Amino acid sequence: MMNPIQAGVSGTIVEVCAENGTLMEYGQPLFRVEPA
Amino acid sequence: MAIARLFVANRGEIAVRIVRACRKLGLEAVVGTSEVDRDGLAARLADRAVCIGPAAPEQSYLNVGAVVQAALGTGCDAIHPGYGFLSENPALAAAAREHGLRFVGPHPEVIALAGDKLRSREAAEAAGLPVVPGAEVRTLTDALRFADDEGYPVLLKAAAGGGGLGIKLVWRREELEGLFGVAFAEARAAFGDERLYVERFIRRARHVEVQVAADECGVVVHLGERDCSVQRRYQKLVEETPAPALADSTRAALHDAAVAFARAIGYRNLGTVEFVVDADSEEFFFLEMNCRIQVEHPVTEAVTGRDLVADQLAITAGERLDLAQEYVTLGGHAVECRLTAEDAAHGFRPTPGRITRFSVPELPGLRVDTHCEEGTVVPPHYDSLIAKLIAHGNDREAAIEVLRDALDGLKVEGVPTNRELLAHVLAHPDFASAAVTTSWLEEAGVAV
Repeated sequence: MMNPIQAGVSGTIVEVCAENGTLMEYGQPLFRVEPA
Repeated sequence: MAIARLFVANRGEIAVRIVRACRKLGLEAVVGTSEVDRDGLAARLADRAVCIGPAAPEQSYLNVGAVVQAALGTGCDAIHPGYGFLSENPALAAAAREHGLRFVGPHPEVIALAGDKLRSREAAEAAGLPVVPGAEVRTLTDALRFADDEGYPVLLKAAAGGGGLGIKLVWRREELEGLFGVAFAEARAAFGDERLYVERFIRRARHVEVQVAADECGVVVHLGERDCSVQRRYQKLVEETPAPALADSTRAALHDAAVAFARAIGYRNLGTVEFVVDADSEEFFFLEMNCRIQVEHPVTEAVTGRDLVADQLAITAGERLDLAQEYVTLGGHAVECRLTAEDAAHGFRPTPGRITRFSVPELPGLRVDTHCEEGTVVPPHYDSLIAKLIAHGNDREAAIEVLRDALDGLKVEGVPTNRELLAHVLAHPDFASAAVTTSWLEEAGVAV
């Protein structure tokens, strides 16, 4: 299953919090974005 | 074909119940929780818990994509839906199958059939089961002819209605003449479908249901019946097996009818066929089939000595039922009551809150299924069931006695409960003499 997810804000990614392929739970951060 | 890791797509006491069955069978259990349930008892007992969404059930426990994704992501090979939520949604059963997961329940096509009132009624009739006499009517003349033949009162329903909406109880011919046009217009306005349905109204009705089990090879057995007539606004409060005050011939006919229906629709796994029994004539009629484990399954476990969740998992794993009908033995009598967090002083409205004290006495013959303990929060988003108390005795009186003692010694603080109501029902002479019908609580003025 693939679920496309949209960022809630536009800006620059300053941190990638999740490794590719890991199971993420609801509410876990994926990226930190510095708003443009 | 064996299941190694099971995903539990539910919460509360049934999630705890399923995790415990996994423990006993040596399976791993993963519980999918909403945000408010992530520290709950089921999550702590499980091998792993994953958060699948926020508290609002539409986004968590009712979210097919989130459930299937979480089951796949945690390496599960099967999904147990429990009761309520997605348990009777064919979309979950189909999505599980599509992704190579097994679903603990019947095939999605069967769930869809059972969930369609008209189609399942037709299937029941075709299988030779009695259904409540009724007919779709296009004109007032048709409706009058039906009611004159069947006798009053009758129920006039919007064919497309549901959940108790668009139903009128009609006592006399003149009333039917007056109401028909109104019902016709209402059905069109509310459901965009002006078809009306007229049905015999059973004044003194008992709710009796039969537990069936069917394996993938097509073996179908019944595990006795349950009487669930003590209801408040269609919510069951007290359930028992065997059903009291039922002739042996009626009991046997109910069992046969349930097995015949399950066979006819190709039912697999555990399920329950519900009937309405006319308390006066003992005529019975098919209502519907529930494609899941029932809240009240422990009373059946008490008298059969079986673990029904383990049976569900074995069937799902493709095992044959190790059970022929003649080996199903029913011993003693079992009664269950549902303890809910509801405020009797305010119309039994659900009352969320934090449980500050929770203790149930330990008594011989008493079983308690609960997810609650001191500190448990009862969230406002879900149903208010906090515990099921199940008593098993040699006979009905003995089981009731144990249950009354259990309620007596029960200590729950922090949220109001319906304990007083349950105690009142169990002590009532009408209940003792099995003179209870589905409208008894309201009619006797015990709980409105």
